[in-house]
Amino acid sequence: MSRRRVGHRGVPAAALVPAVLAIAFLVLPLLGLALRSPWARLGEILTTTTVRQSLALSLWTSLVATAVSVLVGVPLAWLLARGRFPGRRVLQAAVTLPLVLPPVVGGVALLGVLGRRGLVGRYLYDWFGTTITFTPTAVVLAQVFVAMPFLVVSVEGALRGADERFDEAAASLGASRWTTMRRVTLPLIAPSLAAGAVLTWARALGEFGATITFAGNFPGRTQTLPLTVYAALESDPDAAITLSLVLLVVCLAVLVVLRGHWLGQVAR
Amino acid sequence: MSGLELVGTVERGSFTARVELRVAPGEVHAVLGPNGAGKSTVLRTVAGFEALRSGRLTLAGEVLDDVQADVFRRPATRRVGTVFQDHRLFPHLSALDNVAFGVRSRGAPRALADATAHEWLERLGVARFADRRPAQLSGGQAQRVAIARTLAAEPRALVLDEPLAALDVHAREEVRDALTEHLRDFPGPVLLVTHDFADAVALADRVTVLEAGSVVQTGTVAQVAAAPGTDYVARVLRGTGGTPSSAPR
Amino acid sequence: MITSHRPALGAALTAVLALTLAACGQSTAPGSPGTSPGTAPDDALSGELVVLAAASLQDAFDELGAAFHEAHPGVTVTFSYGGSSGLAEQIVAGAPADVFAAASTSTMETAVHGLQDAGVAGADALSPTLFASNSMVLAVPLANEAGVQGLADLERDDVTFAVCEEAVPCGAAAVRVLQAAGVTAAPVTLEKDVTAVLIKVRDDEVDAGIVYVTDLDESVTGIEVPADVNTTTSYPILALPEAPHPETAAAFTDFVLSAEGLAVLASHGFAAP
Repeated sequence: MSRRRVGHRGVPAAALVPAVLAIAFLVLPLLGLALRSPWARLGEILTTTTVRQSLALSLWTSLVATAVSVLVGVPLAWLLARGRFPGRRVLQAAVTLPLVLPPVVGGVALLGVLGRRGLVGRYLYDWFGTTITFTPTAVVLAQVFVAMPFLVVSVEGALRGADERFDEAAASLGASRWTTMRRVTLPLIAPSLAAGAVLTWARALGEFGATITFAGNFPGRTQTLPLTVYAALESDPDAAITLSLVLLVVCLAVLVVLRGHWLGQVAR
Repeated sequence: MSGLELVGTVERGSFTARVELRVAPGEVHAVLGPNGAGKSTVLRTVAGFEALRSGRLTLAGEVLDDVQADVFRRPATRRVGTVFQDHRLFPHLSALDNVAFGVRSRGAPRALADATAHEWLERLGVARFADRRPAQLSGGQAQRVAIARTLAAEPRALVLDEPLAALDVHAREEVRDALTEHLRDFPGPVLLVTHDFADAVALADRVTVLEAGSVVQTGTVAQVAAAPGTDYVARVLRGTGGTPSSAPR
Repeated sequence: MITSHRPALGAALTAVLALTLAACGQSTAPGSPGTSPGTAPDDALSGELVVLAAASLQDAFDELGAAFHEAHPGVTVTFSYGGSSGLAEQIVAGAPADVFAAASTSTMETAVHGLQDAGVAGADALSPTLFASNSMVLAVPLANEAGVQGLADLERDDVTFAVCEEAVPCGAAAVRVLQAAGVTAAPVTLEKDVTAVLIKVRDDEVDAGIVYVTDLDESVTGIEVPADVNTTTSYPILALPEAPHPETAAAFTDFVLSAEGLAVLASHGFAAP
């Protein structure tokens, strides 16, 4: 029994060429990396001290950065979605600025505030003798700066789309605004919150420009995986390729996992 | 007066509706009118989802909304239970957790809230659905759970916004019977918004007819049925088969 | 109507293949001078010369580039400065450059060997020429609030300092200096190139940095490193075998090595090779 392809369904031929080109553009680099990767040295590369250190550092800093982004970002998203105050639009623009800013610029901005001579940093140094630059804390802050907007935008969008009808029902039952947020609104936007958090984590994991500018580069302390890749480009290019592949696979996995969520939202 | 008293105007899109409403404790008062008359706005104002344009709203002697004195109590503090047309059960909670929601919001510990919730589910005849999610309930079952939820929170007054309008014929019977039983026992004032005179007949003591933003008639159900004040009322009465012969209320 | 997508898909794939092949193919560089070998009138040189040079050479080479352009108005010299090891990698990967000036003989060797391994024509006959040498200095911020006076101060707990990554010549030199001086403390950051180290010192993000003598300017203060612990690095220059403008490349290299060129280098603090 043959299947007849109905004429009005399917992709028009004119759209196929750009689509295939786009696929090639995105997939070929990944393939290229996989082909050039020194598979024989895989075990050796992944177990060197530098790599193990930077992998561990990348993992814990990105997770902490994600947690911070959620704790700070959800209330911020709430404020932006539901609040009515002067300057809200300006705040909205400011919050999304890191999304379009080159990360290095973000690093420079962070130095301007928290560097040793920075707006806030100078007091930290003069009063307490500490600076945040060149510490793992700086790594986390750099990641939060570039990644938190993903979470805020995700949650804000979900809150705007969320049904205020349930808020009314909760209020009529005597729930305070805090209780309503905690027991009704947040559970209902949980899928969007989760997707936003995963995206935030992936962005934090891959962060480079702000990190190297603000936190510096020192193995074991501030050298995250992307920085190790960059350093390896000079000393051990094969290792650079392998590590790049690791990062790419992680990001690909994230996108595959989230694809269902995004397509589900579009289909609704 | 220790019931509900609303004297003022509410804003409804293009016009303002002038309303004077007094509901005694234990009285079920129906607000009847065609779509767009402003009945839902009145209800939402009583519940606190909207504010008065002018005038005053009091419940059990307490001022809930006073435009001149600049007083406005948020819905969560009014303890005016609301039953919505679309039940609005929280989709992520079971029927039991839904009913327990208002009880827990007032600070009751989990065990007590669950016990109270079970009781109310029993009274509304839906105890066997305690563990089901709202999506797994029929329209009539969901609305009964919603009524249980509202009553479990021990409100001081009740407002019902067209509670039967979204239900099919069978479910409507089911829920009307449940309401008949429970509204009778409710100690506080009850405001029932509806466009169906049959609901008023079955459930209410008094009726206020609202048309295009004005109160056109008010009185007991029998009074209004006997002497319809406007064409609309007459039409509505005709739609329910004329003067109701037995009006036990 | 029954439609099959196969012909459309085939056309799309062919298009992709054609584009990929076109991209992989060598393109001729625009503006190659058409002078015949043997004649060398200055005004015959033209085009864009691409010079990859170590970060520490920036000020000197900018000046050399301007001077070269004055002598050969048809030539515009474009510089790409960075860590020598990174530049060497770019060359081996096939970056279209004309001249390479490195901050160490070892990075130059990396480039040469890389080109030989890749089988580039003419790579076997390459001979880089040394044109300058440099030594290290300890740079501190102008305010120098930490009161750093010498390498020994780097051992203090309250002093932070930056150096280049070891893979970069500046970093390798810094390591040698620290070892020779018996300093065991670690830097707080390993920067990409010497410019980055300088910026950190200038902005007072660190208390000190080890940079080249030639990097000192009014934005930082230099503290001399004693000759017995200091290292000298030699700078080689090479006209690349696959240069798009081989004659101009050779002319530039000669210019750098000429008396005029060496004088410019000396004025920027470089010593003789």
